[in-house]
Amino acid sequence: MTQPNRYERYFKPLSFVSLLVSLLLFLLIWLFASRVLNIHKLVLPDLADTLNQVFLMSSNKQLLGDVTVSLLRVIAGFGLAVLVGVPLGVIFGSVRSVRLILEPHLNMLRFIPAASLIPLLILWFGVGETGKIVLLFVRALPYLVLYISSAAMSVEKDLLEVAKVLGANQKQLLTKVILPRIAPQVWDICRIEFGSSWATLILAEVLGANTGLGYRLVLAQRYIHVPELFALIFLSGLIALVIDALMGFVHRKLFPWSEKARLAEV
Amino acid sequence: MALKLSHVTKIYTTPEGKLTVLNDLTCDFTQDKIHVVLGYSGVGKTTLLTIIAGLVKPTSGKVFLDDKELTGVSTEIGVIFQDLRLFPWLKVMDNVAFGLRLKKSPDIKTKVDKILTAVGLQDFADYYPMKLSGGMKQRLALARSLVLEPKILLMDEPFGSLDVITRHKSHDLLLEIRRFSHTTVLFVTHDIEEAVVLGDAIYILSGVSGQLTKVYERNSDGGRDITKVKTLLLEKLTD
Repeated sequence: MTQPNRYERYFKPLSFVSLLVSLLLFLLIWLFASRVLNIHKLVLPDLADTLNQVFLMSSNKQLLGDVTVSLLRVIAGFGLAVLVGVPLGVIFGSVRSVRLILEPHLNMLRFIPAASLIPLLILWFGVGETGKIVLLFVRALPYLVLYISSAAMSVEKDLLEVAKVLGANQKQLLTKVILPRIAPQVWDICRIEFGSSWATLILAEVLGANTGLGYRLVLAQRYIHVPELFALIFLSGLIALVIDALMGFVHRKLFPWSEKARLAEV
Repeated sequence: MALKLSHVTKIYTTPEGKLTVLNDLTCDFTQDKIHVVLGYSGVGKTTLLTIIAGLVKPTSGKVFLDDKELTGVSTEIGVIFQDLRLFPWLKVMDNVAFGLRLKKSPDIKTKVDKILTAVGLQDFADYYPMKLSGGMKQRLALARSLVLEPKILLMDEPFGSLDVITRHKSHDLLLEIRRFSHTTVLFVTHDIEEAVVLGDAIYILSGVSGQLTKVYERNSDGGRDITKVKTLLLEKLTD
């Protein structure tokens, strides 16, 4: 195996050890800030109190239920956006007339803050599940479509030409060349957008819900239980981080030919 | 199958004005031979191949395969591009099977195994192209085209990026494959030595006139005086 070059070293996925070192460094800074700098506990709770809260929460069945509810919501809303957004994005990137008609609308939708839609959705659907799923769908769809269309447009003309020479028709160019070529990018776009959808969901739950991780945050705030607030914030980040890492792992297994998989090997 | 060009002209419109790359080319590329088109870089050799492949339309003129006019891409014409253009997401065997699957050919596995053995890649069928060396990638591109048994094979400087030894091996491989495939090959290069080694007939494409001129045809006995042919080509190129 050849030695990785500078570019390869830079973009190589982080190892478990480096992640652990980074986490330990963060905890040390926290410890220093709370114990040595004596920052008020309302602003920064003691690290031990917070870790204890995390430990208590891990055996709390009610919290597990709330986390499950939040995960199901994001899977439903974001999953729906993926189901619609991926094929639409590929068509967008391949059929100019479709892009010309729909792009301005999707662009505008992209710039509307998710939070501004929440009051309207609560009015339409109440604080139940539908409003949240619609919110996640509406927020993720334009990003998915625009990013995926951009990926589809970036497929090398050379590959399309050679596929034509080998006998591919327009439909086959789409299904046998464009789709497989951009599949790793589509996966990564979904990976990034999942994180944003998760954040949007927590926000929606904070603003209007009676279950879910966001709702637990509201309860902790109401009782001014700062260590629990920190623990819940930490937990919401951790859940997204774990899913992100899993998606990164799956990427390398699904697309062993991709640049990312290659970099992981060097 | 013979390939015929009839008054093919290609003019590009650039910000500086019109640029005539190919000027009224008329030529017969007879069956079962390796026809080499020699010319400096940028004279329009690739343009000529892309027109024959049906990927670019000529400004005027026609291309015929036997007596049938070609108006677009034809599966009877195989192309090996300079940059090979392998599909990175497909393993070696799937790259080779790509065209066969598109036309729902029978016995795909047998055909793929046979051609991979012919080009010496039978032990690399499960590899992705990124794991192959330059020479192996080039052989894979050759296999992917030949498996479709094209009547005409267009080759656009396919060995240009290879080292000298691998290039010589590739020449031998092409000549060996030619013995059993009966494909008419149109090979484009700027390398005189390569033209002499491979060409049954050699043409020079002039960047000045945009004309294609046949300058050499191998004797019926198959022999050739390499030094003499090289000298001849050098003279013609510098005319």
